[in-house]
Amino acid sequence: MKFSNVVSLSRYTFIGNLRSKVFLVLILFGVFFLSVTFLLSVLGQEQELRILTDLGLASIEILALFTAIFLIVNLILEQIEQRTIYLVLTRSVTRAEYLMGSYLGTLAAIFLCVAAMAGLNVAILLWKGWDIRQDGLFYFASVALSFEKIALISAVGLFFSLFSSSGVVALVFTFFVWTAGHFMEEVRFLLDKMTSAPLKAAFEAAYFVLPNFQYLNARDLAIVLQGDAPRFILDGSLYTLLYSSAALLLAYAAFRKKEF
Amino acid sequence: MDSILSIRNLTKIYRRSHLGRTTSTTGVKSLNLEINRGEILGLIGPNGAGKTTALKLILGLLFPTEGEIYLMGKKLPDPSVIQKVGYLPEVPYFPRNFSVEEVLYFYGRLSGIPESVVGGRTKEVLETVRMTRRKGRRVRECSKGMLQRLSLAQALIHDPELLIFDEPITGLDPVGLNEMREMIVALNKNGKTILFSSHIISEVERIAHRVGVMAGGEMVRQVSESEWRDKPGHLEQIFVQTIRERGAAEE
Repeated sequence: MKFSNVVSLSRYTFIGNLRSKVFLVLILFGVFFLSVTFLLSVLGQEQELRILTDLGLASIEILALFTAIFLIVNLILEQIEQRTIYLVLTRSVTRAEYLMGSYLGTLAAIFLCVAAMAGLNVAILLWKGWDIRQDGLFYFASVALSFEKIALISAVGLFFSLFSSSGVVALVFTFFVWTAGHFMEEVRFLLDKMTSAPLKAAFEAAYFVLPNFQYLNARDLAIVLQGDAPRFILDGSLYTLLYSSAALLLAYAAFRKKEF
Repeated sequence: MDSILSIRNLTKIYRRSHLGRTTSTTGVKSLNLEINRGEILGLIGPNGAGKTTALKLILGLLFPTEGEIYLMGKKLPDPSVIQKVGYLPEVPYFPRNFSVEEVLYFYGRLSGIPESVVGGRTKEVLETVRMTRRKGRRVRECSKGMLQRLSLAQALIHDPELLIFDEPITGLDPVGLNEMREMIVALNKNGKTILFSSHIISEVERIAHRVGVMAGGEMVRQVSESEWRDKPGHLEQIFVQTIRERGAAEE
């Protein structure tokens, strides 16, 4: 893989995303969400900071998810439809470089979106008297883990978009995986209670194939932060890396022989 | 003569499955073609003759069902050798939110031009296609003629040896047509080998050194310049006669 090609494609995708109307609209929604969070926190009275933190983190994750799904699902499908992909693939660019560059460029745009929203949320929190030295580590680790979840689901979305060649199908599947991925512990619990063999096999397969976002769940981080937080973060990051790599490899397999 | 592109027994069959039924369409059938260095070769043929399919197979946008393509002695697909090809698509497709200069910079980098050189090369190419004053303009604000020139510029940015033009003169006004014709001839005089497809036989006659007539995915005849030189309109007669003979033979 030629590194300069990946960098050029990432840069081009990043700038293209920043200039797209979808991205700007989503950023505006983000600012709107955080403003609503700010208004809601007033209702919390002495729990105001906690509400601001929790709702802020949830808003960042949801908005990052929408940004990721919309950008990633349309990323290559739009380029195929508009045929801008022709002039890229007819150069000395391999399909793996194209896929990797496009994915990383989109992740960079989402990262910027997450960082901007977190910045705004932190500014509101500090204004309300938040103690960054006491709660900062939890907050920023939560944001980092949310971003890892987004990186993982983006890789899955990219695979679905290339496998199905339909934006709507890819969107629905990605959203399903995102939702199911948050219920893996419940699936595990159900597995122990199940008696029907075929159903058990189906749930077992789902448990092993679908991503388990419990490994990246910031709510659990608050508990483990008392104990081995670095280990939790490291394991989560490794899980993201491995799962995303597997999803990207599948995306590459779907894209490798695609004709235009 | 020194062959730059060699196509051997190339076949492309499109297979589409729908509700368990598979249909096959032949895009290109047993195509054999040699293009020599410094030559201008025109591909002509009716709609669906397989011209664009043949070009896309060379460029790696489609994969052959059978056969081989050699570019400068190397079997395709090969990223190292495809770098020596410049492609001008039938319709210019560019990201709309980028400026003319940004587009060229991007394609330049992807074509392997070093960071320190690409800026200078972009300026040169903009001058060649007379777009220096429009370099800051966004793609979405460009006219059709400007897009065509930008399309040519991106094909030339990495100074390729072989240029592949898909319908380069279709849809151009008389001034644009004249400019494009002059550009193709000038590029050839500067040593570029050019393979292009077109419907406009009168223009092909003025530009090409050799012509391949395609029909039904097959190369039915190859005509050299000596056969139509000093006989205006003769290439069209050859084309019509070839297509009619093929139609009669099929019936």
